[in-house]
Amino acid sequence: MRIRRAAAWLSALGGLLALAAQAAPPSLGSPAPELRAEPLAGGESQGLADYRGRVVYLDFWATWCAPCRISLPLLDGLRAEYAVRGFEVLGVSLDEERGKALQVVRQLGLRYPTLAAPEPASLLPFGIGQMPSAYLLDRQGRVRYIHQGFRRSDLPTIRSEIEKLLEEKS
Amino acid sequence: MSKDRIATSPALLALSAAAAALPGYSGPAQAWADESVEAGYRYSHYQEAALPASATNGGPGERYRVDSHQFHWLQPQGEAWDFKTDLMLETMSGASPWYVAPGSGGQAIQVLSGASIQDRRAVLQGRARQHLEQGRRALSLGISKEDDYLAYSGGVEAEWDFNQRRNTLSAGLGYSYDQLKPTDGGSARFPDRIAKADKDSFTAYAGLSQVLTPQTVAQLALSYSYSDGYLSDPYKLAYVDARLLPDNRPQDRNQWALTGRLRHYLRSLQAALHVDARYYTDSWGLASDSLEVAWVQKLPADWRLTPSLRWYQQGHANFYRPYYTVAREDGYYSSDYRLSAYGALSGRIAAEKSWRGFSFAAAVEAYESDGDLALRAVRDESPGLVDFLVVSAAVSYQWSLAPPAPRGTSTLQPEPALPTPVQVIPVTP
Amino acid sequence: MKTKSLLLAGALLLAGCGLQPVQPWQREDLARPEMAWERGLVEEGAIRSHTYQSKEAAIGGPALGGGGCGCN
Repeated sequence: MRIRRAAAWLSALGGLLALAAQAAPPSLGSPAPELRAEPLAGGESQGLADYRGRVVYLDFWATWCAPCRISLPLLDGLRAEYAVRGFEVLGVSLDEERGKALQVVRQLGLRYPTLAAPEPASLLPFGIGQMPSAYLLDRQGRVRYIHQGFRRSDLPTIRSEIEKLLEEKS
Repeated sequence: MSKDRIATSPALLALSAAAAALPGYSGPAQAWADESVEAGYRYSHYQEAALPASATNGGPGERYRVDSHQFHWLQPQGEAWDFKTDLMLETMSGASPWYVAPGSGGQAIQVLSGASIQDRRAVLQGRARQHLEQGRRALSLGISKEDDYLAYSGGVEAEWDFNQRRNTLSAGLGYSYDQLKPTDGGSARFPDRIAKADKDSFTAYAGLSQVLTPQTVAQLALSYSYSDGYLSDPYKLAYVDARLLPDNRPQDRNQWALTGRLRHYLRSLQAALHVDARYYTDSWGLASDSLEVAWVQKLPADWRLTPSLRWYQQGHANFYRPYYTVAREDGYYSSDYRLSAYGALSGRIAAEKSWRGFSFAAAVEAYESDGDLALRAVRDESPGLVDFLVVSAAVSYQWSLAPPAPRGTSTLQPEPALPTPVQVIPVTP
Repeated sequence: MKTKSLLLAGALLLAGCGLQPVQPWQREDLARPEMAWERGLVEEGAIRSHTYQSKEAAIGGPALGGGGCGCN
């Protein structure tokens, strides 16, 4: 009886074995996957190609993600600091409700462009491992650095990666 | 949190409030990043129902009550560490089951300790936790002191997130050294009561959680405990063939528990369903099942209402009897209702309200145990089964330690006119 | 009974394999405070399990408890 009951409990384990193959993030140095989406505030859809020639910090975030909330104003600061040297932050909000994200962007006064969520299929090649996930693209649009998660103490690392790419001749 | 931040970044505040609702909670959604201090206090009043006159042979059936005060402090240190301190002060009073004797018709009669027990308990527990890239690890230490009891405990725990945080593996190892010095132990009045005893307990557990759908997460865990030493109750006696002998249990005990937990969010109702189940078995021949279902309903104006229902049942330890008509060969005797077969049902309702940095909560729980609530028919139901009521109220306050956002980035200024990227002439080298 | 358990395990396993992996950006609902393993303020879970443990025989779960008590 006891063994049978233990077996009944153990059978629940079956439900836990939902494992599936993952998309890996693009390898460093390879061109960034294609991405097109409308700006949060509306308007013509944009793609990464529109930013070619600049070093771009492509940041996938969401309003419900706590580390994202820490990163947003700091990224805005980085953008203000390096814009003249050809740096841009491109935010992509992965919120289902666009309005919520737009409200946050406005209230924080973020000055960099933020896109609404693109087609989920186009996100898969990025291999987003956690929220937030960011991809630093060089002036040719190649992925040169990937930053997953965000802590305030990550900022110096991110800054040095940006500076490295800004110094590269295109 | 400075006034300045409240004035300048309401969005950030709104975000922090949502995320800070559970400090340190990382879960399957995101990397940890919480920098809020949390201070809290909870008061609980626990009251056992008096036993019916039929179970005590007309004697006073008044039982135990406990008043608990919990003080809680969670202090983050930088982005990677947090320190938690919990202090609990309890006062216990009332009578508790002493022994069970056969009545004139052979029915079991519960005899309660005559004098009212008065005891105090203080528990201090600390935990240092480090947040890593792919998980967390923690060290805990605790001390628990009563007039007649002293326990030191410690443990290490770790969690590892993998498979893009769809899975978390958690494990822990704990140890506790408990020392008993029963009141009046070895005295002329209670010559059979031990004067001093101790025990060691080791605990280990491992669990795996899995995100099943965007609204569902489940966890399965196995835990094991080994206790060695004095595991009897020094204040209890057993009626054995017209004699009263001290409660005497084996010197060691192996305990296993398999726990399953499920959380499911129902978007349309803005509510979460919680299901917690456990199967338990031990080397004293006792097995138990428990199932708890809770409904966490979000309501307007930051209210939350959580009704829950818990069912518990256990079989009896193989040496348990309400009373013994013949002596046992192994010499083990216990008439403690906690080792008897029974079932219990409890209903609970909790309300919670958040207001600025504050959270307020109140809850009431009614617990009833009965032989009829067990899985299988109970032959020798203990006359000492407990019914109790717990009423509690809590308040907590959170404030952020995060440095204010860099100047000029979080002010509510009108959005500067941004050139659209296609119009910008790329900076050419 | 044994066959029934096995069938149940098999069904759950199949259900598990049929699930799409949940992407990091799909976890808004999982991040809600209502979804936490532990509910309530100020160590509500700790005092509740302490209460049950001092009145019931069973112990154990996916966490470490503190030291014991001489609870009557």
